[in-house]
Amino acid sequence: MTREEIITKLKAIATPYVLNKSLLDAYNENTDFIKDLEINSANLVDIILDVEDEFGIEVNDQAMDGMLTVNDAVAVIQKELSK
Amino acid sequence: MIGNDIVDFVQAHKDSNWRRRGWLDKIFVPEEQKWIENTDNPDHMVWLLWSMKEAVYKAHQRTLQYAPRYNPKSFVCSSLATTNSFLKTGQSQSKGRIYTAGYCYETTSVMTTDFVHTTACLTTFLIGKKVAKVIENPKTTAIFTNAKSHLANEMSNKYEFRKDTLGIPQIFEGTNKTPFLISLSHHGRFGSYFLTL
Repeated sequence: MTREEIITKLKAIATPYVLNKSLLDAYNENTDFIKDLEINSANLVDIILDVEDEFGIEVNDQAMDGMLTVNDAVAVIQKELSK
Repeated sequence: MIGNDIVDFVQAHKDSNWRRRGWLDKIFVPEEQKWIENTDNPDHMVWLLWSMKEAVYKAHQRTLQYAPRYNPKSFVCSSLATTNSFLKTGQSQSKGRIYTAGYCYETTSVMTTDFVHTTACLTTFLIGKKVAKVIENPKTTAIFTNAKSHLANEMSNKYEFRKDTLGIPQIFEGTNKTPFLISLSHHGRFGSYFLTL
């Protein structure tokens, strides 16, 4: 899976949790889920669970700790997929 | 040092399904999950514990001045005592204690039928006057305005509120940071602040 494909999939995963959809217009690899998309911190857990389901990986507590931006998530996903 | 967090039950119910497989495991340690399992109202317990962890996270980020992280399981609730029967009065107060990385924080939570609001203080920071308030407006500007008039009544009206580079709100007088601390929270229909004077 290419980096671009992962970034696109992440956008689809995040979208249901974004209340103000216009914030998605500026979505890019540097987007911060909480700060830029105003996703509620309790919903970040749902995004992580969705990532686990979508990519068939496990995101452990340590990986979750630093999964705040799209770039962070891509790094975690690529690392897990390469295992 | 200090932090606060509010959860609007209506918004939480709409946005989160905590019964989803794996959800609790990502946020709560086994002991906390047992409390959720063994209470009459698991919804209330989930959001009470969540607001405690969030309030302490904000306080701890301010203590150590670190960039945002997402590690709810690093904040472990070690004790929780609830006074006032919720059924009788429609409101309850809980006192809790949360440990993280060797630091201890004390929490006070107020729960109504509409929301749960938690304030948290580092234990060495318990002394001193503090005020907490819940308002029916979730906008940051409204919370700031409310807190500002509170501060104007008590102190002076020349303070400015701004978030610093870590995203932590600070109170300035001109370009100087004042010793007063403020923590903000908003969720659903509600906003809240916790202010030291």
